[in-house]
Amino acid sequence: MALLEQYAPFVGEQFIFETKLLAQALRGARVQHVNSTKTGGGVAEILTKLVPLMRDVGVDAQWTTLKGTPAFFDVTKSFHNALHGSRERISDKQLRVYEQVNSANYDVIDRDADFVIIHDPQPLGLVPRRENHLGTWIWRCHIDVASADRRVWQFLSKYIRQFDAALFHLPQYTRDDLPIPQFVVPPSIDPLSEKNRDVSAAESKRYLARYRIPTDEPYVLQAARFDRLKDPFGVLEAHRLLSHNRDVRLVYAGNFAPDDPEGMEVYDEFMRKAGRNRLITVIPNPDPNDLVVNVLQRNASIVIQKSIREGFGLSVTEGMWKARPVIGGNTGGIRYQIVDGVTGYLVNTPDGAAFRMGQILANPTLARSLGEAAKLRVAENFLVPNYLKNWLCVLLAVKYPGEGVRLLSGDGVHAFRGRTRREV
Amino acid sequence: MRRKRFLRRREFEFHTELAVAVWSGYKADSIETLLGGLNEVPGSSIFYHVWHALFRRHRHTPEAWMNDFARWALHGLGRKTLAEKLACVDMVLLRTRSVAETREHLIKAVREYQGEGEFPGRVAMGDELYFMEMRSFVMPTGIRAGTTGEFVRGLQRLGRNTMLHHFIEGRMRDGGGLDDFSRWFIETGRKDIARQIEVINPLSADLDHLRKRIIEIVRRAG
Repeated sequence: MALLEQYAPFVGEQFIFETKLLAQALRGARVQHVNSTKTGGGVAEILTKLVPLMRDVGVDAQWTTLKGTPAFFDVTKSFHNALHGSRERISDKQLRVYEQVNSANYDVIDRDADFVIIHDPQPLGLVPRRENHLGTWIWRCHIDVASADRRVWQFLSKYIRQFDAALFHLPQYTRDDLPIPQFVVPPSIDPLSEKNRDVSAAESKRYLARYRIPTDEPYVLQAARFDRLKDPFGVLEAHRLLSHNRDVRLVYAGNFAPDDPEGMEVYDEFMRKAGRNRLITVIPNPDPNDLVVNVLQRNASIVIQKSIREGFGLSVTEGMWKARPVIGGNTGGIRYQIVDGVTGYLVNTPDGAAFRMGQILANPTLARSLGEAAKLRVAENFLVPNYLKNWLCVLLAVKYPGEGVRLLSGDGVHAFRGRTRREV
Repeated sequence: MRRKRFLRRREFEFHTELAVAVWSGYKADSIETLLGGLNEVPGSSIFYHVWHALFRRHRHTPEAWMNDFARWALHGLGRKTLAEKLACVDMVLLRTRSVAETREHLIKAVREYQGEGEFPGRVAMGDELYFMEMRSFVMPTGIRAGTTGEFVRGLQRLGRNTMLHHFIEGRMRDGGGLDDFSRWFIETGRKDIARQIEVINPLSADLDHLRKRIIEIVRRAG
């Protein structure tokens, strides 16, 4: 079975049919994706799915990585933090390292590519290469740059302005100071992945037993890094407030890397505060991570992601996909995903989280309704086939710029007649 | 029962439509900037936030049946009165023949509200309304119908995006106010079917239910 067709059970045969129709207008187009690494990180995970899907629908998609040095990756890590709004000291020498490494990688660009897609800041410095390049260049930003450090943004935006278009996850991440079209394309999850596929009863039983989670009691789950921005202590406080009303288990499944001192610090503090509370189960670095998180999400009565700051929040998407009622922090991409009161609840405080938890636990009909609506929202907007469709539309929109609706017919792309009233 | 047959004069060609959102460059953080945006943004932005919004979103609750501007007035600005005035635009949509008319209704609603003397401030950063536009691509599906049977079979194979294109957006095409299905049945001598489809309120159910309802109408009419 063709790759895209494997998603028909999730998005419907009609959607697959329509996406294939759309792709016909790009059949044979050479699309080169460029990022910094093929392993590790969200971008690599996305491209691992997107590139084969593009090929599956007839687009000649390739994936290239630039070769960096430790000094280069130090700079780009600083860029990443600075683009998120942190104050970073980046010297002129480091900026030169960035430029030099990108210049040394000019040859990775496919001269015959119809589209060159640069992902995130690392390869931005390749764009001067387009001087003798006939293709269309698009920048895909996977992070929140709304509060970017001014100096770093000034440095990088001189590259970004040379692109034909940019893509952001949310409207809030677009920039007033970019004179190029800015598309909004949210990220997606893969319903066939280990993190999101159906799990068997045996798998559920096995992993819940491994972590001593009773199967005959409800539990609330937050699966997130041990990071203050995920507000683990707010979750603890919400659980404490809830316990005035009823006893419910809290399961916190979190990751931290051994070389992440802040993660360790947050974990240690969390463990001190969770104390010997028999109703709190902490699972550091679940193994295997994706499957365990999948099992935990599917069996949770409520999934909570009480972030204080969040780029998009794919853990929210995952919980929604599993038809769980989700309580999310009222921030970033979580606000975009959760339609408050319909597909979950948005909260600003531990008190709000405790209130909504109590409400949902007391009302199974409400829980079911929220979960069903949440799953439908994901199916319609945040699955990988939607992502592919959006990308195909972006490529066509940049190739055929300007306002107006386009008709894709066998003999090409044309303005669609009779649409003028819609445009006025 | 006498079978009604009609000549294969003009086949109905089913199309579908896919789109992606692009930022128009405008955003609103107050009543004034909302009004400014409503005046300035391209028509496809008005279309996206009113018409497309109604059929893009969840249909399970009354909250879903509200255009983006009304929702923002309610949840962003916290202004219930303004939200009601803007939501009422959805009620006149069925008679609206063009985006220009929709835009006029929206602007009028905001001006009336301003005239009532409430002057809320700006929303917090992150709560702005971003005016998005659509870049749409219409595609022939290759599915055609020359008879009612073919029409039923065709519509059964197709989905929401086809309904959005023909049943919702079709009303604005050529200014006639008729959806594409009704227009075709009239042109092919089946006013009996057209009359039944025409009176379906597009806001009464989601697009999948509307599709099934239309299929049932055509099937019963024979």
